[in-house]
Amino acid sequence: MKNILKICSNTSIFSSKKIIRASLFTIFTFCLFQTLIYATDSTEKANIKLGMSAAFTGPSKDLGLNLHLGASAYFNYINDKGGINGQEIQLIAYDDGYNPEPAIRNTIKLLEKDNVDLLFGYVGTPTTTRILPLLKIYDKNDILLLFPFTGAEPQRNYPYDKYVLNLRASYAQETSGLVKHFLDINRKKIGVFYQIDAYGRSGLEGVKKELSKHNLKITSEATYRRGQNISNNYEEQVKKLLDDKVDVIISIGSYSACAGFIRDLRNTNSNIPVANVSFVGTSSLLNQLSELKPTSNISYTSNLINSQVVPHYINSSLHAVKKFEKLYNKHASYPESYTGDKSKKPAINYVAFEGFLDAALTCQLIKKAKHATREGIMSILEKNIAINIGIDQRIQFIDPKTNTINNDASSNVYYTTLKTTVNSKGTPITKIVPLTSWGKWQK
Amino acid sequence: MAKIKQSKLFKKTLLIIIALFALISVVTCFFSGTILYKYLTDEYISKGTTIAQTISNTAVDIILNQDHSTVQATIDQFLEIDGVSYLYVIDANNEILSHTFSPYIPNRLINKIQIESTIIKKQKSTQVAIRRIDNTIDIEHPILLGKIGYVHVGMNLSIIIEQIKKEILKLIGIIFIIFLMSVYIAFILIKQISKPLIDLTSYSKLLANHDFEKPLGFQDKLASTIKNQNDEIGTLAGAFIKLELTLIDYIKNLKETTKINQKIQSELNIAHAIQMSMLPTASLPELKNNDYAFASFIKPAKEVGGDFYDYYFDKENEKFHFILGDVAGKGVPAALFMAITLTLIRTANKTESSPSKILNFANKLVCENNESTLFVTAYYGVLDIKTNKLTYVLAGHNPPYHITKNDVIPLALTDGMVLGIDETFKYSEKTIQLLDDSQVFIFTDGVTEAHNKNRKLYGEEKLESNLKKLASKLPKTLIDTIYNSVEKFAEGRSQFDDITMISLKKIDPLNKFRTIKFDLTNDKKEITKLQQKSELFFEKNRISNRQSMKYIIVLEEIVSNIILYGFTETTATPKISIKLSFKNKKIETWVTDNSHYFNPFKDFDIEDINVPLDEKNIGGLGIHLVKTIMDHYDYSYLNEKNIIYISKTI
Repeated sequence: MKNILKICSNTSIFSSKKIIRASLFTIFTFCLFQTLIYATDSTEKANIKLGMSAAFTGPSKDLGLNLHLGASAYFNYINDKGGINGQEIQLIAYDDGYNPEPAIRNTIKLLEKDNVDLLFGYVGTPTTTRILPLLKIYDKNDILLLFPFTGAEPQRNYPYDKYVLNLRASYAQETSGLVKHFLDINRKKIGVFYQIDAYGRSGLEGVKKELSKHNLKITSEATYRRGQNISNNYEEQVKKLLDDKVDVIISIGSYSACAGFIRDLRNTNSNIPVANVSFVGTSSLLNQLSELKPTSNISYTSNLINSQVVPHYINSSLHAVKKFEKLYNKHASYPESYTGDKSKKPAINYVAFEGFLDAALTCQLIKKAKHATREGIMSILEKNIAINIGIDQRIQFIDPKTNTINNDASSNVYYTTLKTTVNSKGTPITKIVPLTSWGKWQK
Repeated sequence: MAKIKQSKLFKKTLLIIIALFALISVVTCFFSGTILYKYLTDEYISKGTTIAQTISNTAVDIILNQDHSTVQATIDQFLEIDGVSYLYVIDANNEILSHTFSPYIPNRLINKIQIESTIIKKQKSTQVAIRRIDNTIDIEHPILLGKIGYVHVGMNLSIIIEQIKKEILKLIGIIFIIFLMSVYIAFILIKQISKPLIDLTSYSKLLANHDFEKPLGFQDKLASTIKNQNDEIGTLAGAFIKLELTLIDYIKNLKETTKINQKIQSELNIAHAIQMSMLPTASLPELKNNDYAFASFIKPAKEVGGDFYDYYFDKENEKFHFILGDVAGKGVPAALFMAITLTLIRTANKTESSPSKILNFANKLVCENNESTLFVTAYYGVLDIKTNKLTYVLAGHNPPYHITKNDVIPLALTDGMVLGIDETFKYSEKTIQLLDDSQVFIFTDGVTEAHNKNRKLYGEEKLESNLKKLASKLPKTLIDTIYNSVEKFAEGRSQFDDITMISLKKIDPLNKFRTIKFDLTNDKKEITKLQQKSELFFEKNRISNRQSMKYIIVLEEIVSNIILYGFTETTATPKISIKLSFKNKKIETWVTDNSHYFNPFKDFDIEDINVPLDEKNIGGLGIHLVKTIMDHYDYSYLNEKNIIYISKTI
């Protein structure tokens, strides 16, 4: 407005009447436009919009898809029941292919165009860690990122801890847990195979920190680049680790690359234990390994250990598991952009279960906060309420020592292994089973 | 089109363009490569340094306050930048906090860090350090002056090489396109230049095979297109057309001239024949039983010449006249004057006998008829067969050579003037004695004045030395050899003057009778001739009577056998040829006759010597004698002739 006046005053050929008329017209138009925007806004407010950016394509697509399936199973169930406080949950999910740049672009789009209330279920460390600064930039949007599928550190620490809530334990916690167990069974020469990025680095740091407590160092390390998959060759990495005579390998990568690495390792006839972290998506890893045809009498699925950040979901009496099994087939849905056969769903798995738990906790928080905003959710967290989502622990976001908000809800790590049994038809079936004893690998 | 592609001009231009572009490509690629390498290397170092600085600035806070995965995320972003090969961050204790190496940290780096931290205890640097390691430039940037650690950025240089390769390929591509364009332009230009040239070439080829009877017609086309071109080609075309027209005129004139020349030539040929027929050709009568040999030679420089020679034998006085003359000048006038002179000399020697008197007479007559004031040099010699004395006059002629076994000496001059100048002049003469095996060689200056392309004269010296070598030869051989030598000397240069040579040799009688030949008819009286000839042969060869007697008897027997029984009436011209030879104490004889085949040695047996003569077979005794007296005898029948050979060594 000021600019228009300025321009007009600088132009002598316009009469003052004309200026006033033009100004009035501009004001009128502006007001009309504003009204329209508000009108649209108020109708959209009816839904609670959650924005999600995850890998639905590329070498880690299983994670994104499973997480979405699990989460949508719960959200759709809630929506069927009439939503939260009468508001439906709308999950807007975009594909980033596990790459940082699309993740940033998706986030900006979700915040500016889709005007989402909360961000939810981001998959991967390199993607999540890169969008963290956006949360600060969009501070005024009162945004909160709920339960990203990553065990990385940055979102757990200052300055981003106030914008993110984590349900799962960190990679450092997962790997340090693994290290403790290996040291217990006298496997001290630990080698690390990791994805050379923030994710791999987080896991590696966990290993290093735990070892340093015992005055040890990692024996060897080998890396691969994000984006590599089972079709790549990992013989160099295998050779490096075996040359350094490691007696156990902790693998921090994507399921496809890890499957390739395990294949190349086992092809050398080495049967040293390999431990993978939760991000690998145990069933995805198992699927990949099962599809491989060993050239000789090698088992690709033996001597594998997985750390998990949610409880085991088979043969469990947990309430959440029962509900999950019940709702999964009925309500789970693929993201809109998914181009595959949407009617065909994978069997229930850890990732989907994690997505389900994330969704359940999200709904509980929104319901209790009454407002799907950071401020609203944070305000109820301060009250130190314990939330029951049907697992073996109650969820609390208060550090009991300091009595301040702790954005990490859980530090629990669970361990599983793969077990092959022969069914009634005589075909061997490999299953994910809870790891009860480490003695098998005692040195 | 094809013609232009094949044209040498185009090929040459193409070669030059190729060479030029090759040079430009090499030089340009070298310079751009070098400049680009330097520029890119600087650029990469500067890029790397900026990255290192950026990381080191951001990393302070991250390393202090956050975990290493954030450091990792930070450095990961830079790995996508072109040319960045690796990044790593080490802390002040030389621990690698984050890196981007895959599949693993190079051992070299681990060793280096270990050595720097434990063994050499490297001084902590507070400056940016740039090191080149193989194909990588390592840029080390301290974080907080090295208190926190260092950022290392590795810039891959091989990418620069790749980039340069790409750029150079592009450059070569551009140069190649320009090259193709240049070739095309050159092609068009040359086509424009070549077209008239090709026309001109076709025209010149047609000209080469042209008979120049009348214009080709091609020049009309040429005239309309090229000739009017205002350049060198136009000028050349004009010149060609002018050449053709001039040649047509010239050929026309030439044909006419040739016709006239041919007529003159044929007349000259007739004149040549007439002139040659004026010279004596008859073989010489036997001069005193072949005691002398004579030969003559003439070769005019043109069809007709002024040289002449003459000879005749005055049987009455037993004197042999031989003359040689040389009219001053050449060609037709000289030839006519030669004819006059020769006729006058012949007239003179009808009335006079001594050479001086003959020349006095002839000179007078020549002078009387000499309106064109020509003159003649001449030699006139008279040989007295009885005394072997040669009297001669030299009328202004160069002295002949007297060739003896040991020397070649010019004959003394007789102070004679040339003929045709002074009718009152009286010639004087000189006389020499001709010894056995010596000869007199008379010649015209055509011999000594023959010259080669270097204008060097054959000369008297060379002539004398050659004559010396030829002293033993007969005149015919000597003259032929001298002429060959002159011709060889001239090296193909056309003959400058008439060449005439005559030579007379007194033969050593001893040599003369080494071999004799004579013919007999089938007349019994011919036996007498056989006897005379054989006796002379044996006498001259100083063979004793005792030896010769037996030989002659055998010979007579053989010949009489042939005369009596060999010939029949059908034989057209009966002829018996005898050849007697004496060499190395061996007497050989060949008796050849043209009667019917008859081998006397085969058809008669050796006779019984005791059988009385009357009862003997006809001819039988002769054969017996041959077989007993001769060392060798033989018979052959060749070319329908019987040849009997006998020989005996004494």
